[in-house]
Amino acid sequence: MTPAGYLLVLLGILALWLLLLYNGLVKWRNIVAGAWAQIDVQLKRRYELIPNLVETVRGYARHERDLFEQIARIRAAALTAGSPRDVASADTQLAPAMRSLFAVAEAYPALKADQHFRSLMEELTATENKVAFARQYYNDSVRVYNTKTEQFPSAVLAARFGFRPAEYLEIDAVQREVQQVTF
Amino acid sequence: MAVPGHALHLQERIDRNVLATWVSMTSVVVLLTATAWFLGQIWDFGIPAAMIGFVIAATSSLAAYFSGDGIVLGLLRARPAEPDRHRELMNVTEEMAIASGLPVPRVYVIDSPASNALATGRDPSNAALAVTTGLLERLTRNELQAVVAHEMSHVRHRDTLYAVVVAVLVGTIVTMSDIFWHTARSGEIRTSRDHSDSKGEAVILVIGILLAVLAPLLARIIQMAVSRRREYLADLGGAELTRNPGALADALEKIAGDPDRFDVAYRGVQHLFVLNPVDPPSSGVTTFANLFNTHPPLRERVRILRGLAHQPDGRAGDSALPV
Repeated sequence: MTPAGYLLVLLGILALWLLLLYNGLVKWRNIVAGAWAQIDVQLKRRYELIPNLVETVRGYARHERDLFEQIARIRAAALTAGSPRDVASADTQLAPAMRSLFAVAEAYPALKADQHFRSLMEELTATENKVAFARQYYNDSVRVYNTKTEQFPSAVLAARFGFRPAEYLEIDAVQREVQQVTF
Repeated sequence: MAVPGHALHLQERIDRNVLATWVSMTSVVVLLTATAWFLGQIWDFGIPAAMIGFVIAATSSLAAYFSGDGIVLGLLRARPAEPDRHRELMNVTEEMAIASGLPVPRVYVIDSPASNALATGRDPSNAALAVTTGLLERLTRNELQAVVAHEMSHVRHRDTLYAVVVAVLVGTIVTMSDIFWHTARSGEIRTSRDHSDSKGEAVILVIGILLAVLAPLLARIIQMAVSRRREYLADLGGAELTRNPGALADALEKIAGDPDRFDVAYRGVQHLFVLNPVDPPSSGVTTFANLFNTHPPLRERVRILRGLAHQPDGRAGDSALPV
């Protein structure tokens, strides 16, 4: 082979390698986007469950009115949250309120025995877990994706083609406890 | 930690499993064809034995690849979980699918008082997992979640592809060898080339018998050895999904302490379960006995998981594994 031939082969390999790097970036950006969509789906489901649960608890514990109103207010705010930061902040407020609701439920044995309440609690526990796991998966994906956008050599491609680092969704320690609530 | 290399390690593990599947499918086809050829030399079928061996091996390989999950679930008499009765099981499965970023697998229930669970399916889109009703009764929600997470990790690592192919192939080899011994014992062996080359014949006879003896044994040792390391990795992978390694340790201890043995489980599929249903788990570390066990000693698995429980985020790399 002539020197020009070798050069051509070398260039071909280089081009292929760049293509793979680029595709890796696209793949992980899509995984991050998909993971974010999953959190959204699970949060919506959770907000749909809350009124149902509040109604059931209200039937047994009428005088906890303040708590119910507080939850309704936070929920309304949470439904309009868009960015990862807003979502996280709405979540931080909702967590202690939901904990109080569980505490109220604890005080009413009749409520705890209620079949409808029990199945609602299972759904809520599941949804809380799904939110937490969706967030965990999102953060894990962001970590891999961001590393790709920062590490040489893919960082060069990332800068050239506008792959921005994604935002982490912060979890505070208290919320992990809520997630572990089981009845 | 989900360190940068994590995704890569996972991909490597997946690639290795897919490769291992093809290698074992090919070697079983070769092994069976060779065995059949030798048997054909000492035992006259009238038809080319090597061809029969090849057809049987190739058919069972393809069947294992494309419908192995159905075969396994059918053998275990698993029935689909019902959304109303098995709400909790279906919920934790969805949770673990979300945590691993995989599609939600099909969920099955096996009517048995014993406690065990298994996963199967050639890839995540075709995955299925099954748990016994005994397990559902005994475990708490978090423990059930941990067991499902362990199974989801098998799916994620493509262990299920490898495992189900191995299950069907080992079954085929053992069955063929059984047929050989049955026939041999009833004295039907006769030589195909009378009086022509008795020395060469004897050699072929010896090799043939060796193959027939060794093949099932070899197949079983492969089945055991490859699956033990996978169990440790699935334990770690499960802990990574739930961030709650203690729950899996609790679940394993509960399952092991369960006096009910899983009677539907037969040897060919034992390596698919979360805890070996055929041989009771040895609690001590005895090297030779462990060679023939698909699962690592329980005490060792629990020790590693308990160790993880004391780490801030409940995760560890492969470095936590015993070598």
